[in-house]
Amino acid sequence: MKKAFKIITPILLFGAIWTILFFGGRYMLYLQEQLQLFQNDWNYFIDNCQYNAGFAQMVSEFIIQFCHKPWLGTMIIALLLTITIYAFKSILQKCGCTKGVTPLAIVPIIPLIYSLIIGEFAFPITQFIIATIGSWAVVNIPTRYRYIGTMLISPLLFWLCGAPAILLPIFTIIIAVNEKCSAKNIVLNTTPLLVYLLFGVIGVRIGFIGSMDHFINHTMIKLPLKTLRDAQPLIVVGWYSSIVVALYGLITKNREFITENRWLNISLQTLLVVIMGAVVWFKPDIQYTQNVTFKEYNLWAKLHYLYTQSKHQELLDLYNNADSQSIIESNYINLSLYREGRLVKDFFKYSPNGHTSLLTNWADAPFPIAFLWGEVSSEMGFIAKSGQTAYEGNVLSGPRGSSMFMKLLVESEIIMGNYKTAKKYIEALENTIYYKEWATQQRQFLSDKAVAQSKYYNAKRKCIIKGNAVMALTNELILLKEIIKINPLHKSTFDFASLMTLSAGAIPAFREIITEGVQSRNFMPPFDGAIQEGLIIAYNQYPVFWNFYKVSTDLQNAYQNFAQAIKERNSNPMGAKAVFSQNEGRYWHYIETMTQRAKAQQNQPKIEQTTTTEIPNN
Amino acid sequence: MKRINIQVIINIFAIALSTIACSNNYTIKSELNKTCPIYPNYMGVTVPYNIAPLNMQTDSIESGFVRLYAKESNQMLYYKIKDHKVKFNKSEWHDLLEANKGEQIYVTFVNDKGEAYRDFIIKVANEPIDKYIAYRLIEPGFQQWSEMGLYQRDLESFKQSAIIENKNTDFSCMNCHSFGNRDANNMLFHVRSTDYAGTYIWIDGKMEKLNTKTPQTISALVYPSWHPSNKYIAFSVNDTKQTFYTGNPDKIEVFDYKSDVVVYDVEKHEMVTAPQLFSKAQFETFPTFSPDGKRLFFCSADSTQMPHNLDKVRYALCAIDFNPETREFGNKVDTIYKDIQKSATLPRVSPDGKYLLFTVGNYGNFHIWHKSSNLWLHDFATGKNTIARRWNSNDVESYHSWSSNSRWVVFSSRRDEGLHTRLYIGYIDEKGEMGRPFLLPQEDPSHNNRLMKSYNIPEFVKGKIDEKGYEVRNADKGIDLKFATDIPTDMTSGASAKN
Repeated sequence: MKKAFKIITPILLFGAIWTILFFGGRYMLYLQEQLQLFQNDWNYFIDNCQYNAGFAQMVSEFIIQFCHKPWLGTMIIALLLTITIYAFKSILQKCGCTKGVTPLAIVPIIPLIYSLIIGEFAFPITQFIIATIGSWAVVNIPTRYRYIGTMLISPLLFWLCGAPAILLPIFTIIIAVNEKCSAKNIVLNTTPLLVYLLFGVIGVRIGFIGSMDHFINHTMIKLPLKTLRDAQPLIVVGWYSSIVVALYGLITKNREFITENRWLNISLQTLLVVIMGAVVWFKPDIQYTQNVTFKEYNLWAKLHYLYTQSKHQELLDLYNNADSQSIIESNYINLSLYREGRLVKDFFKYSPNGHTSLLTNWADAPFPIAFLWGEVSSEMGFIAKSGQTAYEGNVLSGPRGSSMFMKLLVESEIIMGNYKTAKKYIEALENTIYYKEWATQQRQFLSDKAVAQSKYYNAKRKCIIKGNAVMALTNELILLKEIIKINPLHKSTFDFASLMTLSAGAIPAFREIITEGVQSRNFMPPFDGAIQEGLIIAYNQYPVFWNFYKVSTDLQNAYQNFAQAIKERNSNPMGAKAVFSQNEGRYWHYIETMTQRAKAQQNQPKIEQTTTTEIPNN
Repeated sequence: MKRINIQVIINIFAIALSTIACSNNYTIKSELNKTCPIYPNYMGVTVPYNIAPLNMQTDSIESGFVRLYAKESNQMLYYKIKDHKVKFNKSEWHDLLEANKGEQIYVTFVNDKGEAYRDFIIKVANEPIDKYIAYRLIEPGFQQWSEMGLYQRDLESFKQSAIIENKNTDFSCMNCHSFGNRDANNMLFHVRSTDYAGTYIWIDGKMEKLNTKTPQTISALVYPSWHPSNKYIAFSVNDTKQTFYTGNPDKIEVFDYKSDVVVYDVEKHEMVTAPQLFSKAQFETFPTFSPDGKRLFFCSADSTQMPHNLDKVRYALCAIDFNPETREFGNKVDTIYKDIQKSATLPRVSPDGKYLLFTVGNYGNFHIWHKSSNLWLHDFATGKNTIARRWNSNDVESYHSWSSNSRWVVFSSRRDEGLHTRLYIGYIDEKGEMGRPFLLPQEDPSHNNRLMKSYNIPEFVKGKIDEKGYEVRNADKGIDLKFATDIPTDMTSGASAKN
């Protein structure tokens, strides 16, 4: 029975951790994967290991890359955390714990799991995994060699995983006392801790570790809590409380203190986690960053996953019976509609939030949302903006860049004809597991001839507005009109520009887009969906144009009914309501029922103005 | 029995060793009548004798060897090509170059079939290069930045160490590092955007923090240049912005709405200027002193509405007298270079006073983003301006600095892959003849292919610079600068005086 319990417990633990991670954090973990770039390259290993805790950083990136398939990534993390629990259990047993050690060893893992679920980067997690497993390896060597081992290994562990390596020398002292070593030996066993601290101080002084702020961040004791991301250090305080309890037992010379007071320890840490959990789930305005709540961010991560995994219908189904709450949600909805070929047809069925529903201002959102700008700009044929946005996102993702932004960069550099730069990004992506194939495929487009033969790239290249036009002197709409002029067959530009003007209520601008679209082509483009609905409003006074632009008779009749219902609204409210509901999702319904906020937008139909910016490098 | 066993092991070991030794068969069996494409392309470059080994890689050979042959000293060295790369032994390399000053090294790449590609030469100059260069490593940033730092590189080895990294300063931006007489103890740089913001300046190793924005100037101090006495530093003040092109290969345009030039008195913590350097009608920027300290060179363009006219702004290269004793400027501004089709920036005078090196592009002043930009040389003896053809490429050449012996120039170029700037080092002899420049060598020749950062503002330094992070983190609130005399409002292009 006892033997079976020994086998079943770790399996159950692993299963429980995996379940929590998968169902609670798979979207956040996927987003993390998108925002990093692990390289399967020896030089990458060398580059990382030159810095304090760089090894832990690299290990975290290695693990997180598997979250591209969330079930696999969460399994690997669950396995590592299970191993960490047992390593920690072994250390506690060495410290004198004899009973109920397993639950005690589980408790420090809970904040780590929690930390992953809230979308914190995995770096601190790997720091603690490495520190624990490293400590376990050293404390299990024979007593007479242990202090030497600790002295030698502590700086190494510190180099590999940073400040959490302090676990090792502290536990060595506790174990020495527990094993009733002589006073001399206990003093000797204190040496590794001094070496560790000295190493830390020297490291800070010579810049190897960085500033004291940086050092403190790595030691996870930075307070107070301002945003949810700042909660990470607070959560990890739970980790150190295990040591504090153990030290207290040591000071009071109660060898069984940890065991006897394990519930105190468990309660303290569980309380900490529960409080944080309650704050997140019951206080919806808790800030993830300075501008964004956790719930928003979590939802965006889910939308991002669904969009990038081409699960467009699943994404749209989330909003079948519910309005999108934010511009960013609308942007993901519209991108999915576009991918499904339904953007023009169904744009107004998903409660758009004005013209920014198509191109959100990423300056107001966390930097992963730059992806939306890059993606939408690319689809609109606004390649310079796509490349710029992808670059900004890539830089902000960290020193090694990000897989999703780098893919956009490869495309924009190929379209712009910067093949050497594109090749560099391709080579970086070829050093990954999940992007290698895609990157290698792009190699075939590294020449003008290949681009000319590629339907995808050639269509976008024709959208480039050449010359010395700068974004500071114009706005998106003017540039889109220019793209329509130079490449009238790039349908998405026309579609996005039309919908932008319509959703902004900028009817004159919409008429200009239509005119430009017609004049730039040799034939009348087939307008459908929202554009036909918009044409009715744009030429309300001149129904002759409805026929000229081939607005369907059914739609013309539907509008006449709708207009009649508006007229009769006061005399026949029930009838008007019925007609209204029949027309839900149509442009004229959108115009008629715009909220006050949207109406305010209508009064300011100016499309997002690009401005000049401060420069980081001069 | 035991003794026999040991003997057997020793014998086996000896045989194995000799087998390995014999396998180093550096024989050329035939010759291929073609050149071997290598990266970096070091064919025909001129190098100082104290430079680190020029390690290389080639896609054409996975394994084989490289032969280095020096006729003068009759030395022949062989190195294996492993995984497409060849790395030379550091001490053997230095010995070889030391013994062949003023001569040529013949380099031959040979594949594993013993087929030799056409050899090429590396010229070894008689003059050494300063031991260090300092630079910033940064993403060739648009608006955002992540990690950046100022670094120094030992040119005799591959060792790079941080002077300061922005993780020390809450990930602030840091820029415009500059040295007085290439001395590691006389240095400055700016920190922006965080609580550590300010100008940090070291005079003979002692640090001061300066708060350099004044009511009279449009910005804090920006582009620096030290006076040879180290008592003054010329700065520009710039209201700089950037914007993005919609389809121009240059991608980004950085421009000034306004700019002026001032001179900072290091001892008195005061600034002085002159109407010719502080005019509303002109954009004045990029100042630099002559080696004797009696002339101040700067760039100047007619002020105009920006960014509407950004492709019409053309900077001329000017000079004005400066009296270090009285801090007074001359009344006359001389024009060194002016072209209505070109724009000149970044003047730097060689320490021997013979040449002035500057960057010329089609328009504007931020040539690091202009593919048209090239290095030009002004010869003070003849007064002629000539393009430095040997050093330029089809892509960007921009920031540059002279070595202390005036024989070497390090400059940034985007020629490798169009985006990330890399450092090239060019040679110029006493007669003004230039050598083909070489890419800053790296221990791993593929290093630059992986590096997603640009080398920025390379400056030669004669000695090793101390790490600055600790001092910056512990700096006090700093000294507020002021002008020596009041500046008439109509003269200033300050924020309140000019729209």
